[in-house]
Amino acid sequence: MKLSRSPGSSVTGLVSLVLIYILLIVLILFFSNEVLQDISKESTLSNFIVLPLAVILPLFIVGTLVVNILRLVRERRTGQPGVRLKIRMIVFFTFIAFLSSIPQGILSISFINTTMNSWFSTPTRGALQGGVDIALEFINDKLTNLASFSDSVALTSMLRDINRSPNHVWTDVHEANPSISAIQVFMDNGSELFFRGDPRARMKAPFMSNREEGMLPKESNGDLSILRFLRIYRAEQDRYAVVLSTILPVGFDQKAQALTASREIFTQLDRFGAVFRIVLVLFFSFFSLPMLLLSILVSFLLSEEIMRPIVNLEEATRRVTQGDYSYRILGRSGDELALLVNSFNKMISELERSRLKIMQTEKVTAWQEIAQRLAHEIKNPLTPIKLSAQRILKKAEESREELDRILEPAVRSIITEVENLDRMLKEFRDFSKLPAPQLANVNLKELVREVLTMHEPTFRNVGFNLDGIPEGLILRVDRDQLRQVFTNLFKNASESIQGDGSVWIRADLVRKGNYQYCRIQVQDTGCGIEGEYHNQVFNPYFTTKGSGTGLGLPIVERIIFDHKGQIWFETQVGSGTTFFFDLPMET
Amino acid sequence: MTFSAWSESTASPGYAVVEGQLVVSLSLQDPPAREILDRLREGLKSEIRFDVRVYQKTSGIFRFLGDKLIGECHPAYEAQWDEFSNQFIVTTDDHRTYRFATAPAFVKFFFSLPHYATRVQLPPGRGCYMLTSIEVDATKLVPPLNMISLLVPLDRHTTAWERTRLAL
Repeated sequence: MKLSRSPGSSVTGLVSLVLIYILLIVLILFFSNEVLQDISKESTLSNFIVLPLAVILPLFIVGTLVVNILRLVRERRTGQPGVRLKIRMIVFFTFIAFLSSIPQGILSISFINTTMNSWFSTPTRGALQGGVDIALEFINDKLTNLASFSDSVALTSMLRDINRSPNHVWTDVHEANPSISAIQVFMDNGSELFFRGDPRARMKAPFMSNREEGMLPKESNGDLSILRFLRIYRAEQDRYAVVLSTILPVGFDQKAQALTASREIFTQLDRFGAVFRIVLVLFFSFFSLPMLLLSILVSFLLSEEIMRPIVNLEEATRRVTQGDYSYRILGRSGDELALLVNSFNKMISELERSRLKIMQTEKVTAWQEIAQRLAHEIKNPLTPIKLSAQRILKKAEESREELDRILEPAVRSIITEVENLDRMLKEFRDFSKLPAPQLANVNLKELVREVLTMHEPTFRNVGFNLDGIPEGLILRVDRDQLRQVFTNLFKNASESIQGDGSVWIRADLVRKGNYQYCRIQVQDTGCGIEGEYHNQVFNPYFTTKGSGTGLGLPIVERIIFDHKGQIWFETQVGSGTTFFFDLPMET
Repeated sequence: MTFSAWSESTASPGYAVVEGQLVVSLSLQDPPAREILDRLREGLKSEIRFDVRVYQKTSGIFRFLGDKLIGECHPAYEAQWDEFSNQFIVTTDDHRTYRFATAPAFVKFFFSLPHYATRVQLPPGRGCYMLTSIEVDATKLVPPLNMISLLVPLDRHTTAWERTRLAL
């Protein structure tokens, strides 16, 4: 028993595709989370692995898809079973993939645009710039205030008590300008004379008092920023470095930086927004396209998976049609197709049993019929043999002269009948022991010409027309057996023609299902076959001619069947008969 | 320590070998200073990257494999304008910060890499050379806009690779 098993290649393929799918998703997540952050840096993992992978993977998918498409085209050209349905399914699946991807793509791009427009809108940009301007104005106010107060005459008069009462000086300063957070006075040698105010604003001594008067660089320490102004105060012989400090609100610098960083994004968007949108769409396509291609690839494998049992069924049906009842299909368990496959296998088993039974019955019937016909055919010549022998015996008893007179014709009659018996038995032996065909490439037209040359004297009253046979038409057949077919058919045709007549032979290529055949016609202008004999034409020992054995057409039928072909005829009484037979082009 | 003469090339490479280690000096001639200053004052950041690759020539039958890469480094500076303190701030890739109150001082610092220790140990013998190039991103794109730089090098100036033979 031959078995057809569904190979697991498509399952492996599906598993591979699932893995690629997961890899692609990981790649997308990695790309969006990591790569975008360090894309400008070189020698990163993203540049060496992820980005090449992001290029190679889609290329790999495209390559696999192209290979699958080419294979499908080849299958279609060679007429593989189920290929049309497979193509239809792939187109259907692809259509579905596009149907879901296109709106998704449009939605995503539109979403990106809408989100960008709303997030980075003009009011937001204006608010951000406003924030920066306010921060700048605030710090400029503080600077101006500090500078003008530090430079003022009022401060000079307040510093008069610098040596006697630091507290008094601080009280005066703070009352005059509450935004001053601290005052620190250093002596000429750099040591601190006094400090009053917010302790966070205190500078470490020694102070390099040789600095120029004016604003000192802004100091930042953690989330604290301090503005300072240096004023040199001289009293009599002494020189003092007076540092007035203003503490900015906690986290002012960080907030200002956040504002400028956000404004930077807006400025970049202003400059490169159009290009960025294009790049976004390109990247979206770059990662969506492999997904789409992957889904098309899945459609190939799914179609293959769905089609395999159907193709197996088709193959099994074809083999059964060709007479191979031993073919079985191994189905997967658990689905409806498996039930169908099991039912089919069961049906074939039943069919095989029934066929064997019928064949047995037919065989017995056929042999009974042949035995009856053979007995009848043998009995026919026995009567004249017996009569001739009895006549010789009788004349021998009566007179010697009479015996001499009838002896020769009687013996001749016996010999003729024995020869007929011998010929009949020889044909019977040929029919029953027809060997299996030995296939070889045979030029059809040459073979027909050969047959006609061999039997030219027999077919003298008939004109044969071979124009319908293409030159160079090669068939894969048993040369001797096909010669026998043409000999028998031509002999029948010539015998059915009374007087002069014609026989046309033509050959055409025909397609039946997935197979190609050569259809050969032998058409004569003979008397045709009466309707009552139509069903008996191919029966052994059936003949309407006095001299025939009735084995010519059964032998033809047997040879055609042995070549996996078919034979039939069309006839019209008084007009002629056409015998058709199909021979497979590839056996 | 000896320095070779500054060439007229764009990257102007100079080098010294200190205890077998390569120390390079690079400077960009005719830098796009105006463009960079404009970008910074717009509130954008700029970046400069100095690429140094050191090779040793391959001889014999393995020449077809190309020269051997001994080492490489890519020091980079990022510049920005702080409008709250009216200073140019340059941050190096080792997170050091430099502040400049004037544009000329900033430009002089930003476009040159003086005496940079590459940590590339030169092998004994001859046949070593270095390739240098300088890449200036007038606008350093912020994520996610830096995706653009994957496809198009916007606002970027790159000098050609310059080859300098290293004499030990």
